[in-house]
Amino acid sequence: MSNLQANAAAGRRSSFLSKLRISKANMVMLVVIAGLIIAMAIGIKGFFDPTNLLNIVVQTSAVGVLAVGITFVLVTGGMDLSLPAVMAASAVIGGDIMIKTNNIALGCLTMLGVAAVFGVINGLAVAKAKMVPFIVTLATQVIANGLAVFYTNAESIYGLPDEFVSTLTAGIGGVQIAPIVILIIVAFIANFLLARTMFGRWVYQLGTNEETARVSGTPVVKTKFMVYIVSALMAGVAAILLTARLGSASASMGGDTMVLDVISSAVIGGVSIYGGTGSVVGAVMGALFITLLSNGMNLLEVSYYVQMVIKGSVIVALTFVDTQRKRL
Amino acid sequence: MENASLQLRNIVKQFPGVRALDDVTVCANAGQSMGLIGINGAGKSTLMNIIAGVLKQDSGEIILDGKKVEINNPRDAEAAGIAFIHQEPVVFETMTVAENMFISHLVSKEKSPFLDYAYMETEARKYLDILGSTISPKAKISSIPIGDRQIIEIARALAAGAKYLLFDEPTSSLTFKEKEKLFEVIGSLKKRGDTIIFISHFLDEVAEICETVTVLRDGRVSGSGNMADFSREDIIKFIIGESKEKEIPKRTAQVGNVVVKAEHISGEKLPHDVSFEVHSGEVLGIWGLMGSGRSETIRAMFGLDARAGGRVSLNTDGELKQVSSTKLLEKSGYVTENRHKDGLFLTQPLWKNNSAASLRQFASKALKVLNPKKEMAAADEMKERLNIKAPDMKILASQLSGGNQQKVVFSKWLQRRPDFFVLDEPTRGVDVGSKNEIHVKVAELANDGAAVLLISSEIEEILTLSDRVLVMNKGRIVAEVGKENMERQNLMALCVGEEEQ
Repeated sequence: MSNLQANAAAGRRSSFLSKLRISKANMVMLVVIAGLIIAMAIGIKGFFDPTNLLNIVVQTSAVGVLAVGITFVLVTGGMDLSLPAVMAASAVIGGDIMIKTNNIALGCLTMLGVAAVFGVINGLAVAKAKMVPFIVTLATQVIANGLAVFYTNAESIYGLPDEFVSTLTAGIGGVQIAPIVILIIVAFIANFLLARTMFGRWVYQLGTNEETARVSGTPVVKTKFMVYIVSALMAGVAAILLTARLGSASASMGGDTMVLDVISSAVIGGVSIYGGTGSVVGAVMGALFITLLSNGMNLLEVSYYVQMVIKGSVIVALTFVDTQRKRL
Repeated sequence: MENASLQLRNIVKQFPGVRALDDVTVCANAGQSMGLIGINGAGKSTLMNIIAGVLKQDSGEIILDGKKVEINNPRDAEAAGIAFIHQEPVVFETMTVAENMFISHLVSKEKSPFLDYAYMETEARKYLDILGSTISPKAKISSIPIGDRQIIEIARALAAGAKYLLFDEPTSSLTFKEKEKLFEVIGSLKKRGDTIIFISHFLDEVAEICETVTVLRDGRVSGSGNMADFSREDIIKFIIGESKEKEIPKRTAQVGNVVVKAEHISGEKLPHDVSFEVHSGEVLGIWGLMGSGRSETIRAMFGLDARAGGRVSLNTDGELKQVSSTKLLEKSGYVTENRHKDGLFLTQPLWKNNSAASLRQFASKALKVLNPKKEMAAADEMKERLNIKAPDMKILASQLSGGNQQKVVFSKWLQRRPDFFVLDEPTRGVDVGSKNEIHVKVAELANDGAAVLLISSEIEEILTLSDRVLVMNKGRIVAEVGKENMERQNLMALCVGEEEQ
């Protein structure tokens, strides 16, 4: 009888929690988020409205999915700067195919496929050619971005099939439930993969000590390659989500700060840049936190540029706190 | 005691869950060497870290030449004239020897912001010569093997003008010649009037070089005084209390079929055309000086380093078949030379370290979902079996002492139940008690039918455990010695003779 079955027998609630493996670090994060919500609920008009709150989660979905993906890479001690750009490239190519063939499934598969190609490029460069991840993914970011601009002639792709948009934004009373559900499912599966499987253990081993992992018989090259595929596929999923939500796709659909947002989400959520620690759940909570911040500032009608300054400062402060905590 | 040059009085140090030092008072005299002995976990490293400024005592005083001193960090210790020569050499890999030696007090040219490399290199040469070393001050550390790095660390201490030198197991990585040189150097340091504290598990060495001795056990001083007043049995009693050393089981299993055959293994630099066979139930020792290519041979065999030629065969299902290096690694246990570098996941808990090489045993068939409960149970079993001293297997590997860390590395491979076991310096930096336990385990492994390959620079270890010995020099096997001919003189001569040729 596997551990899963034993836990299920013990009761649904405990099974759920142990599956999520709520660690101490994540508990702290939950408390911080709760605190922020309370502060904003008191201080900001219109914040503590069910529609607004749920919309925050909806807005988190794209960044959240990307943060899930980048967690795998960061835990091995690697880096992936290309995710938002890959997302955009996948979205425009896949979206265009979807419109031209009027085939939703084909369009979605194309999005995933294009993203996967970039994942393969990153994976081969880092795992096989032993190149520095930061540099490689910086380059693929530029390539993906260039590809997206070139393909669309710097215009937006719009006119996506209604069914596509309506299914993926399906909701109740002004709130899109579909993106939330997709984020939860993706996070759940990814967390399970990373926290409970042999592959996940390999990922942590690589980030802790690659030499020891190699001697212990862990397939180093294969694992390193796979994490870049995972993150790229997440970019593909994010492309599907975001295209449906926006109703269009463009080379700049992620926004200027998306790379920072994705990495910060993970770091705030407890994923170390140096590898070896962190969880998918933490990264999603980090994404939630960043979106909360943005939402609060929007409601306060803070100017976009001031928002960027504030967001950056908060991220620095929280990362500092996190580093201090680790040193203790 | 009153005119001792270095005194530690009533030192107390508490860590969560353990009192590492409980009212410890220790004295060392100028111009003499004090041996500090005790099993790992007895408190030696903690005490030395307090003197060296890495840790701060909870209470108690440090008195140097009659004056009380406050040591809050390593800089204070250095300023007070204290130097700590570490067990694992602490060096900056990408810098040169001279830069490493002067790293904490780099010298600038007069009235200039530029560093005076000529001066530093000359000074470095001076101290390296004192130590009888031919290392070039301009060489990059990354090109220098571990044994030599220790020498550089000692040279660094001398260059910093230290008066109180603490040696933490300095001979673990030294060759015979280097050891003799070290003792000569310590002799001249004593003549200069320096105070030496010499931590070592090698009682012979302590007896040879130390005038006084202090033994720690469970955080307390269990015995101290002049070396001449104690017999070896006295010292051992101080170290382990009343428990006796376990006898190493005699080899009972018949030496059986060939389990692993290596043919014409060559690496990029070392080794050159090395071939050997290991049989089940036997312990094959590989003896040689530092740099003779023993570890390189193993790494080439397992494919961890590039292999320029040769092949390996493994006994699979009763037949000796050629296999890939990956396959061989999969089926073997390999305790590496340097547990910190590639033997452990220091920031992971012990139970994860234990199952790290045998995850498939704990994974479900389909999705490869791991079973942490099963892993932890297996780890607890290993804790009992190997007598690992830890409150439980959930603590991090970094929190264990050296000897216990080595046991965890062992347990990782035992978990795999391999037919072929390679041990590279398995008791390096390990205390008397744990060392004995590990030796017993090695003999048990062979008796249970495993084929064991043992690399060691310790002649006692090789002689005690091996059924036969291969001698390596400069990347080649130069001799094979059977049990009947195995003797100290023999093995030493084979190496030294080769060197002189």
